[in-house]
Amino acid sequence: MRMASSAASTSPMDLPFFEKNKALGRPLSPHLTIYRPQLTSVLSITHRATGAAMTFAISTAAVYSALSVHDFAYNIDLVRSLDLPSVVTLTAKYILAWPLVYHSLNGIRHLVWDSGRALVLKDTYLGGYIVFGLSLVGASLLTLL
Amino acid sequence: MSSLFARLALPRASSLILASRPVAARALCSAASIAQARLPAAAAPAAARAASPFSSMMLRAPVTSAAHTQARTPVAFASTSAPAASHGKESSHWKFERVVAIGLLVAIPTAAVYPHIAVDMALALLLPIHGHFGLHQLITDYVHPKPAIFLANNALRILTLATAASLIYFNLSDVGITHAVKALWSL
Repeated sequence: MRMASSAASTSPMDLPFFEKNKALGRPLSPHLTIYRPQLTSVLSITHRATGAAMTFAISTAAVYSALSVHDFAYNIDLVRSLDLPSVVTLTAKYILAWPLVYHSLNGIRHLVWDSGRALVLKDTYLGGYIVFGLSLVGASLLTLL
Repeated sequence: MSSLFARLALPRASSLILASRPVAARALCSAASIAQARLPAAAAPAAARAASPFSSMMLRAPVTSAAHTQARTPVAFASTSAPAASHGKESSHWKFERVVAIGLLVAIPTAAVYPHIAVDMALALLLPIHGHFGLHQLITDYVHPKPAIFLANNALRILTLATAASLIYFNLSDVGITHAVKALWSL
């Protein structure tokens, strides 16, 4: 254990939580580079990532449209005039649809937990497989809508 | 702003939906799953409660194995939904977060099958509020030096207000959220 040697009066143990752990050379917990990823933890961080990404996407689109001199139809016509191949539009739709479907379904999974149900380890995995599978199916259906 | 949202919450309406959850909150989820996986079912709720310092402030009633079972019946929902004086800001804020989330789960499919300015306006409020709660949680978990937390939370407040104002303006001055998404999907 490394101790601060600068001043006799300050020990790392007296520092605030994060500064103390930094001074003592303690790694991040769980140590992300050595801790094995699990279905549950990967789905959890994906829930956060999709939520944050959608929030920033919505905010960007909303503020852009408010500041833009053109109306929404102009932007739609602009993209239509590019005559993009269907591979591009379908891929773009899937990239937009999957986060919404996944975050919604996993949000329901969270609400089930909040009601006190399905909190045993086996159920968290079962729910995880169901949500991930359904999100792929749901996003595909929305893309082809 | 979060306290404003908490005050906007309708305690009675929300308690009908979420009043009697026997164990609560994301903070408890991992602890509870570990505890319940290793202990007999009857002991699990008490162990889960002991495992998390955050659980007590979110619980409507002391958790016993009986309450844990009863809470799954409509009778227990009704009997525990009366607001109790011991419940502070935290639990009503927690409930308001769930009400907003459930509101989105209702509003988004409704918009898809029944586009209406009222649904668009609901989305213009629910989307930024839900996003605000989510990003606020990320700031709480991942941003730490105090000045950075302060900056991040104030930037978030500006982002949320600008988004809500822009979405409301879009609903009033342009085609509205639902028709915009439908037009995008027609490409």
